[in-house]
Amino acid sequence: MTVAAEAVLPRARRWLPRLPGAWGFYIGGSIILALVIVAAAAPLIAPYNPNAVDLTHTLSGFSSQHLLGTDAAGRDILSRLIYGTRLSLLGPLAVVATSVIVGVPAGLVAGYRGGWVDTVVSRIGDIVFGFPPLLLAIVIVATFGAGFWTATVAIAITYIPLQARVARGVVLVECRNAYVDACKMQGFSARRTALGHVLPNVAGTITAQSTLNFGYALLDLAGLAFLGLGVQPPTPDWGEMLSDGRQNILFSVNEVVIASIAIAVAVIAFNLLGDSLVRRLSRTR
Amino acid sequence: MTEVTTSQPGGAVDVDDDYEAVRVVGLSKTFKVRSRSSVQHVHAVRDVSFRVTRGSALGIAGESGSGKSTVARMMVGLEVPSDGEIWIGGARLPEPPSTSDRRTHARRIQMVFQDPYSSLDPRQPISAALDEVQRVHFQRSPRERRARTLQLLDAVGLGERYVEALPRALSGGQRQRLVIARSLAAEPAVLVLDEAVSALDVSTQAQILNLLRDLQAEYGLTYIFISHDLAVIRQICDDVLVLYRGELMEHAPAEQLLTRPRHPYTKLLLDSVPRQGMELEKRPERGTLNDAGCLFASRCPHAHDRCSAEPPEFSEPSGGRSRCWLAADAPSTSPLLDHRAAHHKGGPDDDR
Amino acid sequence: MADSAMTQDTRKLTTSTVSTAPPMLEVSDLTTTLLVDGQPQLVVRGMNLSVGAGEIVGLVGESGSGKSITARSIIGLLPRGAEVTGSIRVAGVDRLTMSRRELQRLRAEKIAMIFQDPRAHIDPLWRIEDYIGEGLRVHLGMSNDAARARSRDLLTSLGIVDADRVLRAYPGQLSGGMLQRVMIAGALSCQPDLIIADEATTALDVTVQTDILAILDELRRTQQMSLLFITHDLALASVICDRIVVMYAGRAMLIQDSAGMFRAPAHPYAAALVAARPNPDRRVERLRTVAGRSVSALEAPGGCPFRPRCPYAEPPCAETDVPLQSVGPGVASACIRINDISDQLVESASRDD
Repeated sequence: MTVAAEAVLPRARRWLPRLPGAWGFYIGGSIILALVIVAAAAPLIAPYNPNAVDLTHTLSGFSSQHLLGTDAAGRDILSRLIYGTRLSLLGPLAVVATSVIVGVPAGLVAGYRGGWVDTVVSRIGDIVFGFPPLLLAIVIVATFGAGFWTATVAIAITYIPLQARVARGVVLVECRNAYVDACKMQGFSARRTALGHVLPNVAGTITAQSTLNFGYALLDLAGLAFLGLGVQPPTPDWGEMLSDGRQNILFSVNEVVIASIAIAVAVIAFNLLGDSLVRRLSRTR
Repeated sequence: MTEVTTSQPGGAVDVDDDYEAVRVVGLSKTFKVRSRSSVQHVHAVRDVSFRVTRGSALGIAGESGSGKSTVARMMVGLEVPSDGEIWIGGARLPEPPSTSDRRTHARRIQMVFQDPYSSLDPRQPISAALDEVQRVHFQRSPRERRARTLQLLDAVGLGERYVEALPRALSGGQRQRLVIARSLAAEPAVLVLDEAVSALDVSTQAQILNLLRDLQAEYGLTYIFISHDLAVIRQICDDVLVLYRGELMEHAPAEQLLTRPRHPYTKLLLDSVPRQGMELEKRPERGTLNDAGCLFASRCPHAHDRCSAEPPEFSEPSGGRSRCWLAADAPSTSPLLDHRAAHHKGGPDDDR
Repeated sequence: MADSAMTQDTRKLTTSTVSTAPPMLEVSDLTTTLLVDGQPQLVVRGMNLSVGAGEIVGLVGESGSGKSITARSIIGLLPRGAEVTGSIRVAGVDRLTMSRRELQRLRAEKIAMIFQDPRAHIDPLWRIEDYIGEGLRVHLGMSNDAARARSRDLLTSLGIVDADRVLRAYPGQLSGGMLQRVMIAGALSCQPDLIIADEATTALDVTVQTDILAILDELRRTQQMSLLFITHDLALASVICDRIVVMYAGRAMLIQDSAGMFRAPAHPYAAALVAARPNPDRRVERLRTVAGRSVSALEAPGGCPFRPRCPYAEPPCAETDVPLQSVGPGVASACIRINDISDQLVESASRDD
């Protein structure tokens, strides 16, 4: 970019990452965008009420009436799929958002301050990280009862140390730059230096890494729902559909297969998007 | 510790506190390096003392491991000394310094770093960088700050068209100008330049050196100029201090030190400045270094027994001081006497 | 591009004045384009140089001049998407038409390269003996014992006193100066005819630098080794180089012998470089500088790329594509006005002595 092009830059530009041109970004991004639209417009798109029970048409295959068939309670699978998009996207969003909101500041403080603060934060993170996520989730859910929110919180807790570790790593590298020393020397407060200078420069890398976590969180949540510990029936959710469909898999595979495909597509989309962001944003200035 | 001659342009001796911009006494820094089996103590800086008169420039010369960068960092408060005192403008930096201590200190002394590419926040526009420094140190209206920003950019030779640009748009030399402008934004009396021109092309380096001279004259700045390059030091500095492995080896006015060095290490540094037609001779890799006695003894072509046994004291041969037994024993007839004459005769005495 | 190709006369003058044997390296009309952010960028343009057997030639240029890319073009170490045209002849054989295997042989037997930061170019997980020995075992088929013995000899000849300890050590345990000697040992291990040293001493202490220069000089004298010495420091190059090629904006602007270049530089850019360098013997009121900054081949304007900064520029300088032309015995300059201004250049070079 020439000096002329960069001559006028609004303040917001400091925080926006440079958009990558990789195809992964466009394909992944389009799919996710489509999913978001589906979730938002569910009442307009879905042919049936997802909870409408119809015991005369249980476990039916593909038909003109029910494009994707029905489940054991006669509910339209397509409608449940469409409505299920909401929680299936909301869950990972909540997990990633929580892990970023809690984990990034922890990692930032640990990386910037160093010393005993770093040791304490890192050791706590290591302990939490050491728990097998599913086990921890089961314990929490067993204590507080199964459901969308308990499952989400449980998974989020296991993602916090991961996010903190990523943040700490990039902050440590960034703090090796002389401009951080220059800020300290000037007597800038730690807040000004860390939030005003270091964070904007690492935000891109952290964002990119977080996008990858969407996919993994979706899988973890679906796993919990599959075990019956997450979203409870009859609330439509892809993981819940897996659980529900499994019981009658010998009679009709529709529900399980459809839900699995939906989950796979979403995870792949998140991975494509996240991967392209990582590659583009992790490259240095 | 023998009293130190102060440096002042013109060479006169003056111990009056009023004229002292910088006073460093017995500065030391030891780093603890923990390895699996042991804890090693690295003496990065050992007992360094000097004074700098207001308006003059002191050069600190040395190679890697000399401790010169550590001295610089201690002076601006980025490292805490293990021992010794640092007085800037008659005030002493508390240890460890709090954020507000650092802020006050930054009004007296600032540092220009070596790497122009990492010393600027890549996402911060130039005007914002200068504005921020002013906001932290002064109570000024935005308009006043803006006017001052433009003034500073002009003083370092950066045109108005760069005001909203990002560092990405600047070349290495331009970035260094910006870093200098940022340091001046706090209006310090002393500027520490840590290898500030070493990463620049020759022609850019010359431009920046000229700029530094101009700024010193205009703002009455005091410089502490750190460099491994004696040629560059000669252009900027009135006095020169030579460090080796953390210890002060020689301290004298520039003209004297660079033409009639009184310490073998200084002479070695001078002989190593690349010049067309210089003599080259192969010397063995230095092997292990001694820690007793004079730190330079194992590499010194003039060393004798006393050198490895006792650490030399300072002697004051004609105007400077040199930490060498040779200089102490024969103050006016050191074999190092005329560096230029020896150079033309064809090399130093028999090597070890 | 015809204008920037060397004429027969110029070729004669740009080749070695040291030996009459055919040149070890002959580069003519070298043009290299790199892919940056998906866009092709011209980095080297119509570059000419040659190195004779047993000769040390300096390649001097500031940032953006294209000197490193020239070196990498010669040895073929360029990133993906790079395009190289022109002629690169190593010991008479065209490098650009070589197959992958032939290129590998070339790098094993004929050319070796030494880089700026030894720590970045030596695998930190291998012991030194493996680093040096690898080439000996793979390319020369030596046994382990023979490789060890030869490695030890190499290190000793480079002034390393306790070679056995160094051989068993890992790079992290050694200093920068020591590692650079190790890298040189590695480069020498297969007895190349030509060594390319790219800023090989820039990251080293100045006292270590003198030692390395002495080593390189001795290699030239005792083993007839050719050396292409790349640096941004003209004074540094003048220490061991017989001839110096000064590069600007991707092409050669001047080829001259070291002593002559400092006494009577035959190009305004070289004169500016000489004048801008501070001297430890004297302090001057103001260092003589040239306004502006170095440009790369991409940014260079038409005509002479140095014209915007040249104090002697005249309108014709913007029009002709400046080829290297012989202007005297062993001197080739790209300045079309050199005959008019040579006196002024000599005067300005000597004024600060």
